Amino acid sequence: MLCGVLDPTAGRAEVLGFDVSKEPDEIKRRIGYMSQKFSLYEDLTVAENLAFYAGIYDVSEDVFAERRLAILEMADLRGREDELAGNLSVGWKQRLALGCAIVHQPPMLFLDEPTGGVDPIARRHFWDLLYDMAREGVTLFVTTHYMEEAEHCHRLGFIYDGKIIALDSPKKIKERFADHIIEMVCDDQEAALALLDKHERVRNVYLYGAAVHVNFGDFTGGAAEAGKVLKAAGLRAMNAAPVSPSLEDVFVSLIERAQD
Amino acid sequence: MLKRLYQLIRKEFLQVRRDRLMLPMILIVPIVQLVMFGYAATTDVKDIKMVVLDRDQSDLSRRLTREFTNAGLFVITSRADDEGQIRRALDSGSAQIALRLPHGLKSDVWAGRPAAVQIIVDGSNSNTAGIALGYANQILGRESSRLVAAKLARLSSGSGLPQVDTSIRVWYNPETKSVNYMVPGLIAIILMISAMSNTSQAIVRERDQGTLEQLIVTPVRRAELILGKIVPYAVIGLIQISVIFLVGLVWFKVPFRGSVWLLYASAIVFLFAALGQGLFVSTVSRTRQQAIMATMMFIMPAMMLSGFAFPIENMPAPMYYLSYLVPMRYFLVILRGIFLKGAGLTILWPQMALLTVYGVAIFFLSVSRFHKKLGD
Repeated sequence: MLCGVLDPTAGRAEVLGFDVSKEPDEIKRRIGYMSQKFSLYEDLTVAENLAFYAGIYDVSEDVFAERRLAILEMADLRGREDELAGNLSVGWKQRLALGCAIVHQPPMLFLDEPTGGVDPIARRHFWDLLYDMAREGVTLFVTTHYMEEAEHCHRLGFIYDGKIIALDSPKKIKERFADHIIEMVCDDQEAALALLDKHERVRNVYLYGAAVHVNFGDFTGGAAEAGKVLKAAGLRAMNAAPVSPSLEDVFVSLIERAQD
Repeated sequence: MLKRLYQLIRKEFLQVRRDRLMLPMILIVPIVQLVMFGYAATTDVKDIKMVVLDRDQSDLSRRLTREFTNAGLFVITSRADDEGQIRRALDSGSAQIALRLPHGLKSDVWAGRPAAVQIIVDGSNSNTAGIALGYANQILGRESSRLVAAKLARLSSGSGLPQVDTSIRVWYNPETKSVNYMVPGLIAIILMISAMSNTSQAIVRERDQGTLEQLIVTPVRRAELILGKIVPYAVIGLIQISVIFLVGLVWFKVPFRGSVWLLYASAIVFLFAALGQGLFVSTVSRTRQQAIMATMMFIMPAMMLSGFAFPIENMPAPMYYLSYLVPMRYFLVILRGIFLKGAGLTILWPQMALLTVYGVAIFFLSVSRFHKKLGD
């Protein structure tokens, strides 16, 4: 919708100062878009893909000659111009797709879950490229469900059930969130989850990586309380201690509240 | 606008060139089809195998038998001594038709008693059987009237007899060669299959790869997108029919009596219908397999109801009226008219008008449907 493809059913929005439903062509010319699918022509070569998108965006020959080098450099694809895009490994495909999306140097770039299915190293490399672009003044609009990626952003919006339930910098969002989170490791996680879920002071309890996170709301004695409850039931809890809430904790709790 | 369209078309041709199977398919498929239809799917019938049971053994019975073989339509493969042998010959397929001349044929004829000559035809191939029966009837009828004439001549002497002399001329396709009939038909079929399946495949592939989604967030207009998919495959379709046209003319010596311009003009009009159907297929198919199946749904009725394989005039009424809905029907009349009759627009304009109406209607309906579906 923000890219000017779909008409909003209600309300209005502006991208780069242009109205999405009235001036979609102005927007399309100025944005880059990269989806999760890395939309490349797999049966065209690296160079052909770049040339095609450059042509579509009406990039002049001279500018393209320059951009081509810069993008190949950035994507680490120099010397592989004649390889078919379909034969590249995922990380390279991703960087080529990024290259195609920015061949016309858009001031704004939309990234739709750009790192799905990419290994952690390639993902880190990719984010380094995004940082460089952001430093150069490109506005990046990223959707993701990786919370550690969300943490990289300057401004963060949580969307649940089609509504924005929080919108601020990651730091501010976490600061405003006052709930106390206890992290612990239990030998029988499932039994612990079931037990703590029934506790009257517990707002929320869920698995967090290898550990269990318990949200005690504004109750400060959570660590001791959880240990006591579990011990009474014959369960063992290790290293129960308060932790500062992560974005994931915030997100889970916000959704929980939105559902009520 | 033109620059973006050029980029899209260029990209499509790059992809076609890259596809190892596609390029040979474009040229070889039409030729293979043409050879198959030209040689194998012939409905010409000659050298029909015949078994004869001659119980009369008279000069009349021998003359009748000879009449059958003279025209080159029938060959006597065996002679039977009894009915059982006739049955065996027909059962085994060593003969397709049996001629049974009863004892006393000649004397019955001259005595003025009805004489029964029996023809038995193997009807398991109804096409051949029908043609064989037609020939047999013709021969026996001619012989019969010759005998009547001879008898009358013997009774009244001299003066000529009232007689209707049929002289048959086959116009437009004097040798009634089926390849002459098939080549125009193939041009229509190949054009339809190629335009429909190539366009729908190209669009479905693009959606599958996610590049369609990518393209609609670029400045590419939807009209450019559609033209970029249609123009390349229209060009390929026209190349293919040129191949069929040339091979048909040079190798199969199909007569061409009309205007080449009219041929291509009607092909382009027909392409609107075919490409429109291709676009439609792409809007209802999620995968390439679905697109193939959906394409078949269009091609089967076109083959059956357009008059490509079976004459429309012989169809039962509901099928006959249904055939008016098949755009290829009009294209075929035009093509056969141009090829075999040398007909021009003065004669073919009703078909051309209907084809244009259909083509443009199908095309724009599909384009608008494609438009709406694109955003989803």
